[in-house]
Amino acid sequence: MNNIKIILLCNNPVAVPGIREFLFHGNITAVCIPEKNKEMQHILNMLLKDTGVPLLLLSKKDYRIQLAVAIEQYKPDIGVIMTFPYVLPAEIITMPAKGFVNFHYGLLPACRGPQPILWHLLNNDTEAGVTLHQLDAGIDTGPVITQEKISIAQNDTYGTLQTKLAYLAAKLSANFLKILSYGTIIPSAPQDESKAAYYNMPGAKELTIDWKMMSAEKIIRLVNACNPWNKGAGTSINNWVIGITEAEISEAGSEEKLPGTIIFCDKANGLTVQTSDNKKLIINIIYTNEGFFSGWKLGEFGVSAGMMFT
Amino acid sequence: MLRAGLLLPRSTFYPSLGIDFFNGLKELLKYKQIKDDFLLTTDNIGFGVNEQEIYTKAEKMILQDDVDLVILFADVMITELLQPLFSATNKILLTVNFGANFPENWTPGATAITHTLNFCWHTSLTGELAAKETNKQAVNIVSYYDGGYRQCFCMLNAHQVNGGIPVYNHITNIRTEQFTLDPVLSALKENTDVSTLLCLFSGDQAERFYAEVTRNTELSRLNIYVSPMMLDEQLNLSAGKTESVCHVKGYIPWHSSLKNEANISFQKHYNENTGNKANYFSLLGWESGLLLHEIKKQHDTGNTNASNIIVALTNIVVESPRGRIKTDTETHYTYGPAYLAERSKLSDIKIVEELNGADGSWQKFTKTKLSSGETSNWRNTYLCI
Repeated sequence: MNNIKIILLCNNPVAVPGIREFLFHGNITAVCIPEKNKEMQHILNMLLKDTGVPLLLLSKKDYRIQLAVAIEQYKPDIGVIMTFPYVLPAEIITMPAKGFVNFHYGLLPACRGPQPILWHLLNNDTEAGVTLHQLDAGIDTGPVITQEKISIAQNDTYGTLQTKLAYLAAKLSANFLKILSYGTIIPSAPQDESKAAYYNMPGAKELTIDWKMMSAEKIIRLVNACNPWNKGAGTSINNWVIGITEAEISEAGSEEKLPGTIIFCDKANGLTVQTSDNKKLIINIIYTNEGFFSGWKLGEFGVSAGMMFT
Repeated sequence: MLRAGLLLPRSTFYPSLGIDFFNGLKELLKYKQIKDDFLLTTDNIGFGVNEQEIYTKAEKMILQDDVDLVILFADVMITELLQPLFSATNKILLTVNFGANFPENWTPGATAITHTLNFCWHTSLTGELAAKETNKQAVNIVSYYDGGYRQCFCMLNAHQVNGGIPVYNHITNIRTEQFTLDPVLSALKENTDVSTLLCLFSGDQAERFYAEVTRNTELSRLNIYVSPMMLDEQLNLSAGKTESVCHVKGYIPWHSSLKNEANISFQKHYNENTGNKANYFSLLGWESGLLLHEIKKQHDTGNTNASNIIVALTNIVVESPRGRIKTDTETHYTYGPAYLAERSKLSDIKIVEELNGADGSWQKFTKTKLSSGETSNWRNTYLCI
């Protein structure tokens, strides 16, 4: 499509469809990942095989120097980031003629930070998306080149949403290549700081079900947000911590029980739990240190109707 | 004074398309006495296929000519590519086309607005009507050209979603000398319950279709549901054995016979000043002029920010020759009324009724998505060939 040369930095399989798009058009001169990420090493070794594109492994201690050397050696026109855990200093950002751009797998400026997909789900947002922006000294603060949104489906998990966004980023990659090729400038507009919010990595509390406060729908969102990467949303029973990996809402509770009370725990009725908004939650899949099980199999560990999740 | 750049197409299929559009726009500016409030710069973008050419010309208009807005007569696929340029520079991108395609992603750019004749919506309504009025079984006939736009998907999909059953599909050859409906006649002999044809044609292929239909009573007796361009008044139709074509129906955005004041003024002014009859192309130009007028009104009140102007446009209704035009808040697409039209004789098109509940119908239509899997379509702007 063009002669644009790209050095690409990534750290997560969500980048793969986008990398494929750049590879297809022959734009990538080198791919860089943190050396500790063995999963991505494996994926990229397969992806880059026979392409002639080198895979460079960066250490947390020396990544700045390693990147500077790589940019000197491969002379990219632009750097593209598709998830990367280390902050780039200004002297690196300005090394390629067109600077660096970042694919942020969330909507900016409302969802800045390292886990936008998770926070879109936890915040009960109706839309997620991918934002392509120029890199500046801040984190996710650079001017926006383009953004595309998708609706979050009721049953979207972290995994399904991530896959959708990965392919959305690939589509944006194709358009971005055209913009680089056709235009004389990279068009971008500053973010509206009045609408900006930054979200850190969530703590254990934010990933744990609060049976007293959370509605059935909110619990489902949390469960989906934790599936698959956290193996499930945390909860405990008799001081035994487990994860709820998959659940669904049943009909309204027929009688008032305290939120978290187990109504059924058998094969016929499944593992059914009362919620604070008087609904029944059917817990289909749970995670324990012993493995993944159907919810009702908690009965085999001594859990029974009348007991309570806390 | 507002600077407006126009990127206009050409068409060998409809040679007057670009000039009719431009004349429609110019005549509206004269009619509203705002011609001197706009400095128009034009450039040609051929059939609307060359992305690089369009991007480069749009960028030049923004960066060198310092236009306030660009009117781009091109299809939706190009618009997505251009939106970052317009958002970043805070310029208005007014995309104009016939609406024969719909976008994969309806989410608009903050400074983008799309003005069309809503053909996909109309073919969707026609497909739905066919399923509801007939015994469900239908033969689909499309030209090789018209079948390559999403209006085709809209008609056939709406038919099937509403219970319709496609019994046979026929795509006519693009070479006029090889145009034939013989396979359709064979299919009808084998499927005697079929009383419905769903048809998408334009230009000379539409003329050829009607000639074949009027030559053959096996076809002319059927219920024929058609795309807007098959009810275009510009078609030069000559009858075969009979002038009668029984039941030709379809939804259309506009017809010269509409009695509203804006339509009467439009046709009178346009005809007096250009010597030509108004058509779909001049209508699109005239309506684009109406939108320019609204943009100018915003500037006059001090609202010069492109994205704020677009927000303001979503809150106003424009009185157009086809009725009241609104700009959808969610998609920034304009839409007007939908009219059910009937052609009982070749030379006679009548408006039967205006669609009730157009707002809800439009909202439902904008949830349309292509079927999953690989798709293909023509890349040139509809009718620009």
